[in-house]
Amino acid sequence: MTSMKIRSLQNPNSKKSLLEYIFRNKWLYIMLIPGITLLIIFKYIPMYGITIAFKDFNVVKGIWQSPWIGLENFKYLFRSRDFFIVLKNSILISLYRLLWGFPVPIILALLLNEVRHIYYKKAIQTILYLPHFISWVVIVGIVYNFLSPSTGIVNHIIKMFSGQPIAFLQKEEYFRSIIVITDIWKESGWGTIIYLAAITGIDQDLYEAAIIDGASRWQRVRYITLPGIMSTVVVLLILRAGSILKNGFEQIFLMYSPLVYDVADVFETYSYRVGLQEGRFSYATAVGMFQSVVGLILIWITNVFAKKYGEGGLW
Amino acid sequence: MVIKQSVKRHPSNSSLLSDILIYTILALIASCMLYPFLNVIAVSISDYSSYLENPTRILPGKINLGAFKYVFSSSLILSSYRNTIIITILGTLISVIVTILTAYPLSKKSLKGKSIIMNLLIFSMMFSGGIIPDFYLIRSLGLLDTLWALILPSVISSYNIILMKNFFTSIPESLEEAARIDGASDIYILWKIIVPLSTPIIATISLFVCVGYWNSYFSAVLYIRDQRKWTLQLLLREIILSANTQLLNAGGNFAELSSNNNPLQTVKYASLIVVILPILCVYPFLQKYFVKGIMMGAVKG
Amino acid sequence: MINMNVKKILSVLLIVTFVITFFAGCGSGNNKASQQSNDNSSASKSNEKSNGEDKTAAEEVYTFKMFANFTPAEQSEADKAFFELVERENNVKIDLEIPPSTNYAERLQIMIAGGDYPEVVLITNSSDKVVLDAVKSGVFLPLNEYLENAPNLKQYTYDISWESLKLTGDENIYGIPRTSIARADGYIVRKDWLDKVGITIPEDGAVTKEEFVQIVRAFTKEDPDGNGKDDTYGLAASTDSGDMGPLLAWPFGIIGWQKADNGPYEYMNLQYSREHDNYKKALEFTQTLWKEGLIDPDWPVTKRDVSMERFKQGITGVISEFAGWIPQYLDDMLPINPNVELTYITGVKNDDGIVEGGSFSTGFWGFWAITTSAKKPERIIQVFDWLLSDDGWNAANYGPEGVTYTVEGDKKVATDLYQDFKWGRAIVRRNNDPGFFVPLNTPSDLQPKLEKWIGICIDQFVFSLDRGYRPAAADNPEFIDYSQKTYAQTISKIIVGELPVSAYDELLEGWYENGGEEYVQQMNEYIKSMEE
Repeated sequence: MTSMKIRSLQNPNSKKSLLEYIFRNKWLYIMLIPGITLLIIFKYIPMYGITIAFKDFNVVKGIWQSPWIGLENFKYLFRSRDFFIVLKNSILISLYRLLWGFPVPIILALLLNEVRHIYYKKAIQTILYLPHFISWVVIVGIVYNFLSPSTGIVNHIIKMFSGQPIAFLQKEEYFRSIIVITDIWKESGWGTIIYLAAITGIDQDLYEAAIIDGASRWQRVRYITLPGIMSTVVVLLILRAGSILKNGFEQIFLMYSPLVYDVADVFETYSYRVGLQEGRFSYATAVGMFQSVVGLILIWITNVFAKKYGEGGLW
Repeated sequence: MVIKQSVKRHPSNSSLLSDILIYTILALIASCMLYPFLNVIAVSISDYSSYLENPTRILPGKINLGAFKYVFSSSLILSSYRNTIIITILGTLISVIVTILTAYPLSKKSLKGKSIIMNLLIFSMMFSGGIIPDFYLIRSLGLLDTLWALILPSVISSYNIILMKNFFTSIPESLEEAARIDGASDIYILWKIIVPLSTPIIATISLFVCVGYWNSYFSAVLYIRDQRKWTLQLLLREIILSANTQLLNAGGNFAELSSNNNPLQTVKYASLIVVILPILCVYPFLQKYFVKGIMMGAVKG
Repeated sequence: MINMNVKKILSVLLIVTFVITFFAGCGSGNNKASQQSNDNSSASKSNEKSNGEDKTAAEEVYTFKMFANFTPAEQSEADKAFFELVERENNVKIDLEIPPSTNYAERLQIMIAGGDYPEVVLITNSSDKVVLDAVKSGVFLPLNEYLENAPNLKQYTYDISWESLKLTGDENIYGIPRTSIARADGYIVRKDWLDKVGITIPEDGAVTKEEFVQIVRAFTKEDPDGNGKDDTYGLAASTDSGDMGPLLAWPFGIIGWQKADNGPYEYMNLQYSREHDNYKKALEFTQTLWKEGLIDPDWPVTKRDVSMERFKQGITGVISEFAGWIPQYLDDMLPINPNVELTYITGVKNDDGIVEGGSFSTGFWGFWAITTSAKKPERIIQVFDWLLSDDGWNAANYGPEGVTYTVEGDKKVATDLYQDFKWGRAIVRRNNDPGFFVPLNTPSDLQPKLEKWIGICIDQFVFSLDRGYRPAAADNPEFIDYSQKTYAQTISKIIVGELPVSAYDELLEGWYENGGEEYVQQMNEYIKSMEE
């Protein structure tokens, strides 16, 4: 692709040229004004709040007046007996969700794309989105009803085959799978939207040419559709890398119990119990910051890899 | 520019088999997704004892619309609906426009200052100040207890901007080149060429933004004092969760919860339906923007 | 092409105009509606006649703001009338700010951080660090001088509640307790099941541990609902906020902080005693019940509201509960099963044959703090004091006469609005009126029984001596981590049998090492200073 020449700089080091450059592209910069203004106002002005992580925060004194404690919170975090378990859980659950959950919306989008019957396609699409709108409170209630060792249908079936009922939610070996499965179930349908949008951007002529050349349906998917949405996939993957240590608080909080803390306790639930609940605001902030720093590093790394493989990164 | 219709494909035998496969798989998956929704509807229109008898039902028991009557009898239901509709419409409008305006310049490969801005966007996606500085900001802007406090902070979403920017970069530059040669300004190019070609991504982002505003409740918790400015989600969360929060606060002292305060499960489910249905109606309207074929042939002009 | 664009722009403009008009319309409407309190009160004040109370004509109407987490979120007619009455009787105007109760803690934080304090604030958790910080920083006023003129408050509040509110370690009292009647609750039991398995419980509702197990076992194994299926469990149980502990603790002497009969400390909570094995016995007891399958197998993941539901569904037969809720349970259960009958176990006897227990140590359920914004704290105290006077208490308990109830003969009869009267009942209480918890519209056959049971539960209550105190050691991060994870986890594993009861010894040692030692020491110092 020929690279687009914005009326480019003649002499990059000249101030006059810089102003000229801005003037010639003035509309582009003007377009940026509303967004950047809002960004600065609503995201950067309050940004000083992250210093709470480095202070012994006292609500009454406020952020500025609360005393500095430097890296105390972080030192404590890394030294604490629970750090590795929480870190391990956070990474594992997040990775499982990535591994099993990331491809599902893509596959669903590809399948949906192959459906020619418009009403069937629309109906399926709408149904697939429904779980996204149902709150975790309700879903957890339903999961609970299904998996209950006393009244649940799954155990009912197990008993019919003369097995012993299993208290799935109480067992360490099942808990993570339940989290991952319910998360995929809830969000994959919604996740197809962006891929379907990307698919519409693919040049239809390519398909026609492929059919003429005798390509089968699966070959068309593999050689046209998939590469066509690859840039979207890559962008979403990079963004997802930023959440490597992040998991949904509500979902896990509603389903877990002390019996499964060792496999279920993630940073969000941990910081809720030992941070927010106990009024240790600054500690909770420090934990969140740790998650974000790691996430940022990972976004950067993933971005570098993406560029290397020619897909173009975020920036 | 020529926009061709896609050639009608004739199904061959192998295509038919894979068709059936695809349709069946989708049907199976869809029925899994459908189940809780049917459960919620069924319980919300049944009476409480039917629910107790069989909580996992998908067929309603004894029909009793009392749950819906209870939800709609709240004096705040109309105002909260109105508030949510207002912030959703205004918010989506403003946010989508700003997102487009911000994403387009960033999609230009060699724009000076682009990486600084990208860095700003990504950094703000990962770090934020927290509820107390946010509160101070809204207060100093004089936006406390206004609907604008619920709209403005979420207008900028780095995530959405990045997605839109990505889509814009996939539009062939030759189109813009051609227009530029004809003397078009950047604004003209954006509105007359880029936007019409980007309806799928704009529809997608609009949907995301719309749903985001519709579901918003936490900013209402922080910034709204006047009950008549509560949002729908806030009101309904109150109805659903207040009983549980009271339980936690009671500290084992059970008598302290007036037993009437525990809304029946049916009411909780009815509240859910009341929130979901309107937003579900939005998507079908946007579906027509997910149309293939807009792009192709455009280059051949 | 141009027409399309024009159309698009027009439709966008139309929507925007419509929306802005809508918005503007609500904007003006909101100003009127922004006050929770009614504007009628000012009109009624100009020609008021006070009800026998002595009011100086020179006293002005004092306006103050009240910040509380009342539920439901909307003020009912009954509550509106109630507040009007209060305002009339006390010559005040109360502006109510009621945040959503689901995020009350965040709102409290922001309120304190914001610096713009309402005059009266309801504090739900007296050991919350945010609250203690606020107290130490002088956000809340000490009320001692004003309490001198509040005879009703003094009379109807537990002494221990005042002590619990001395939050800075000196004599300053930082709030008005929202007294809750101290009771040691028992269990609601399926009487129809008892009949089926042929067990009766004594008149006073007190059973021994063995009898309790017998009931729970029969409920699990002997098909008490007669449906031929093995689908019932004896004991209902729930886990809220990660607290899984022995289901029967009081009968083993785990009754909070009391004078110790041996060991290095003068006062001890037997849960943390290395010299007593009471807690281990309690763990063992629960572990045995669990192993035998007599407890609801969903216990670890069941929250309280779900466990109530399961009892109502007939899955369990015994549930730890306040006796006053029996009418509500019956209301929910009878439509499904008209044969349901409920009775009450008031408690399980300990080794000395006595029932005693206690679930909280402060005697109050939240307290009202008065902030530095209050220009006339004495007027506010007067309002609270009035609410505990005979007239005021009548209104706070039952609502305004004529609105929520009418008097027929010598009895009060509830009106339709009675059940909507909620907010008024969440302000203050008398500590000697258990009738508060028995609603007016309770069926007359149940009323005497309920009062009897509640009375017994009140009598068997023992205050824990800690007065809700949070020692500084509790802020120690290692202590918090240990309690919130290792401790909670190990206890739950012991109970379900994954670990033996003897694992508690090691757990307790760890607890002491991670700040427990300081915790016990500081608690002892505090209690000693209070007991003088």
